[in-house]
Order: sequence, then C-alpha cells, then structure tokens
Amino acid sequence: MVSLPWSSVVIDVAYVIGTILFFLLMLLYVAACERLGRGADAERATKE
Amino acid sequence: MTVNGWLQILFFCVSVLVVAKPLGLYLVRVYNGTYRWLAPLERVIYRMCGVDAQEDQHWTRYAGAMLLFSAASMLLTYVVLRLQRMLPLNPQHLPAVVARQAFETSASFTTNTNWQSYVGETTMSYFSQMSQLAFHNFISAAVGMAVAVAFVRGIARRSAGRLGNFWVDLTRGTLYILLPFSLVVALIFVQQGVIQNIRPYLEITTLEGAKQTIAMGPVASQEAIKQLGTNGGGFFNANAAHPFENPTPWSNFWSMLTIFMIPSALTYLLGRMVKNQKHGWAVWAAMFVLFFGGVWMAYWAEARGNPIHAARGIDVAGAVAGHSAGNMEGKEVRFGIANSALYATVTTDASCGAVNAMHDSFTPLGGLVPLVNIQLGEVVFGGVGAGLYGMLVMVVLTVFIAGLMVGRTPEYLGKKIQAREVQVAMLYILVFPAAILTMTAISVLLPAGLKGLNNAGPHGLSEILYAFTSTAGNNGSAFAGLTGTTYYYNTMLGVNTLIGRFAMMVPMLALAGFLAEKKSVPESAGTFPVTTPLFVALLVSVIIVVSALTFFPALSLSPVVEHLLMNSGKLF
Repeated sequence: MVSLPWSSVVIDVAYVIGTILFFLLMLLYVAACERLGRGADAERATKE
Repeated sequence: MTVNGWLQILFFCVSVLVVAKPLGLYLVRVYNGTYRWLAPLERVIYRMCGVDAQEDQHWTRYAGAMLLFSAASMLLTYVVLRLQRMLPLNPQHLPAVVARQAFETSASFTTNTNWQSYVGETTMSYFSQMSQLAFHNFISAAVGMAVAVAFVRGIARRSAGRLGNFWVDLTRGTLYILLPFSLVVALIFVQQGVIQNIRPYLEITTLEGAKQTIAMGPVASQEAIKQLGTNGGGFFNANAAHPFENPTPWSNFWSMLTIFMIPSALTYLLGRMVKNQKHGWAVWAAMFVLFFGGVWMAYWAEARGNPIHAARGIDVAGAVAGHSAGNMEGKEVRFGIANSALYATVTTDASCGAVNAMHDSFTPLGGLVPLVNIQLGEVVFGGVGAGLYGMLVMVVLTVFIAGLMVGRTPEYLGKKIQAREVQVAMLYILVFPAAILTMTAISVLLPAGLKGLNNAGPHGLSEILYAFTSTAGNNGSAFAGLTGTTYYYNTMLGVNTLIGRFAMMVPMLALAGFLAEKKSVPESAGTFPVTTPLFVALLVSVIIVVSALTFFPALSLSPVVEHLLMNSGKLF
C-alpha cells in the first residue's frame, strides 16, 4: 500500500475542487448567455 | 527560398484542396446519419450509456452535455495520472505524475491543447498514454467536430431552435471518422518507419562505449490521432522532430496533410449542409489566403537567415554558396527550411501544436508567424471543428460589419443578425485576447512568472506571450525557452487551456442556438453575398484587423522589436 503525504492529498483535493468549480461556473455561463439572448429579445420587442 | 521548396509547398496545398470534397461528402453523410455501417455497435453504446439518440437538443442542453462529459473525463485522467504507479503497462515503473503536472496535462488533453510540460518517455506509463492521453486525442477532437456540426445546423435549420444530439454527434465522429482514419494513417506511419510496440526501453552501448537508453512505445497509433485530431502532444519530448515519430519526408508530408484534411473537408460540409456550396468554398478560400500568407512569410524569414551569423562567418554553407543558407538552428536536416516553415505554419494554423522544428530558434519574423497564426483565433483551417466554428463567428461579424456599411439589418444565409447574436459573438471574440493578455501581463509582473525565463528582453516576452497564446488557443506548441514545470505555470497554463476552450465554446453554441431559432428570410437585392471574392477579401480583412487591434501592441514589444534589434546587431 502506497501512502501519500498529507500535503500532497491537500493539493490533489484543491485541484479537483478547482476543476469542479470551473465547470460549475461554465454551467452558470450557459444560463447567463441564455438570459442574455432572452433579454435582448425582450428589449427589441419593447422598441418595436 | 528554392524552387524545390516551393514545389513541395504547392504539392501540399493541392493535396489539401483535393481531399476537401470527398472527405467532406463523407462527413456530411456521417453526421446526417446516412452512413451507418457500424449501426449495431452505435446502438450498443447508446444503450449502455442510456442515451436517447432521437432527442434533438436545445443549445443549452447540448452545451451542458458537452461540459459535463468534459469535466468527468478530465477528472478521470487526473486520477489515472496520479495513480499510474499502481496501474498496469508500466514496465519502466514510472512514479505518479506530480499533482500540478497531472492537473495541467488533464486540462490540456481534455481541451485538445496537449501542452506538455513533461518529458513523455520519462513521465507517462504506456497505460497513461494509451488509456488517457490517446482517449482524449479522440474524444476532444470528436467534441470539437460535434460542436462545429451543431453550429452549422444552427445556420441551416429554419426556426427549429435545436442543434442535434451531442452524444450522437460525439459517438459518430469517433466511430466513423477518427477511429477508421487513424487506423489507416497509423499503418502509413508504420510503413514509413514509425515504431509501434509496448516493449521495455532498450539499453544499448554506443560506439564510444557509453550506455544509452532508447525509448520504445506504441508511437504510430498515437501519432496518427495526434495529427488527425489536431492534438499535437508528442509521444516523445522532441515531438515530430524525433526520428521514431517522424522519420522521413513522406511521414512529414502525411503528418501535415492529416492535420489539415478534416478542417479542410469541414468547409465542404458547411456548404453542403447550408445548401450553398459556393459559400463553403468561399470560406475555404479565405482560410487558404491566410495560410499561404503565413507560409510565405515563415519561409522567407527562415530562408533569409540571421544576418549576424553571416557577418561573423558562422553561416559557412552560405559563404560557400555565395548567399545565405538560411536559418537551420533548431531544424532537422531531413526536413530542411521549407518543410520546417510549412510544418510550423500548418501546426499553428490548426490547433495541432506538433512541431518538427523548434519555434524558439526561428528568426524573430519566422517566430512571429506561428504566434500570429494562433492569435488569429486558429481559424485558418484550424483545429478539427474548432477552426470552422471560429471562422463562422468571424463570418457573422463580417456580415454584421458589411450590414453596418450599407445601413441594413445584416443577414447571413437568410438569418437576420441582431443584437443578441452580435453580443455573444463579441463575447467569443473578447474572451480569447482577454485570457492571453491578462495572464501574460500578470506573468511579466510576478517573480514567479519571470523565474522560468531562459532569455531576456523581447525574446523573453515572446516566450511568455507564446505560452499563454498557445494554451488559450488550445494549440499546445511551445516556443521553448520557458521552464513551465513550476506551480505557477502549470496551474496558470492549465486554467488558461480551460478558459480558451470552454469560455469560447459556450457563447459560440449560444450563437448557434439563437440562429437556429430564427426564421429564414428570402434573399433580396440588399443581402450581402457570402460567395464572392469581395466577401473573401472582407472576411480576411476583418480577421486581420480584429487580431491586429488586439495583439499588435504586445507583438511590437516582442518579435517585431527583436527583429529590429537583430538587424542592428543585437541578439537575445
């Protein structure tokens, strides 16, 4: 059995959590782009 | 420059043109579902993964599937690299990849970048290379093609609002295109002398009596998908300059052709799917104009050589010939200047990043070409899929500008380009320079950023700028000279690859989704034609102006000033 040093585990966890957070942010970005599109539509409809 | 060199370049150009139509037709039939000679296998995959192949996805669902799949595959690679010591197919008993490099490598391969801060033959086990890195070589390329096809559907469809099915596109791109073509290309490479085995490394005694280790491995199969999928990550540290990866001028030719063949064919797919073949050829022509300009510039600069070498009598061959023998530093003699300049242009026009010569050793203007190619957004044929959708965003911008010039609401193939389309197109265009320039600026200010530099002055700035350009552009080629194996660079460059891929794909898919929702309007006398030489010229101009406006100040401080200083006798 190979034991990893404590600091190494902390770094692993940091990279994994950082990666998950990045992709969660990208999912929010998808929602933001969709809202941007709907907002522009609504603005155009108001002007027309 | 020689006639022989130009003939080889022209032969390559003709080959890229010739493959576009037949391969493009094949791609259309694969993505339309007409060619399904592996349908039973396809059905098994869908059943095992619980995919509803009939679902036609909204862009948000398409983007969500792409993001979740990428996240899961990236995390899996991270875990495998960290545990490779305990996994099979590791005859050299290589230890776990260190955390920072495992993060950077998994991000880099997931995003089709394949930036390598490690030495492949001494860091990655056969298991890591074959199960993870090769897996990403296929999958990241298939994701790029899927997204490009989704974009084309967004233009082609008439108020459907749906872009297809991400899982189906991903599966078909891998099964029908990348796997069979890789097999054929791998056999061609083996015939040319590229090695393919899983033996332990050889220990030999040299003529001088010294011991030398010769690395082995399944190189031909990795090499095939590395080029075909515009991945670029070399099995060996020297990449395509290594004689086991790229032994002959013919293997070099096939390497370059396999980089460009799918991107070239995708322009034909565009024409066929939007039912306007001339538009597909117009996009091809714009790509070719930019490509040829890059080749000419790189070849001219390298053939001209370094005037300081000539003045100091170092250019011995040139002194015998009576004119400069060109810059051969960092180049393989079996490829020469023409094929090194051509390869550098091809690999940076596409998001490949494989190298057969060291870009750091190019003359300042020769090195400027790869840098600018990536900064153009890699829309010059580009990465598989990524090149086409990047170019289509530029087309939308071009049509918008043309509309502004004549005071009409712009249309692109019957779809009106309005505020929301331009907003997401601009988001796509701005993310790229923002990532590159911000991270470069931070790096030149921080001691951690300057620590890895091997060259001072403008050349040092070029090295940092190239690293962030290459990673944000998902290219992966290195200028060299920058020691990237530090916590700072491994992490920053890893994050940069993720931003350069996903923060650009999302607005691009949004644009496709918005276009797909629009009703098609008939062409009128005021519609800007997208099939004429005028359109090609305007598109090329827009690409150059957008790139020049954003990157010219940074380029002026790096290769341009280095060139001027070289002419006045100063080297870095």
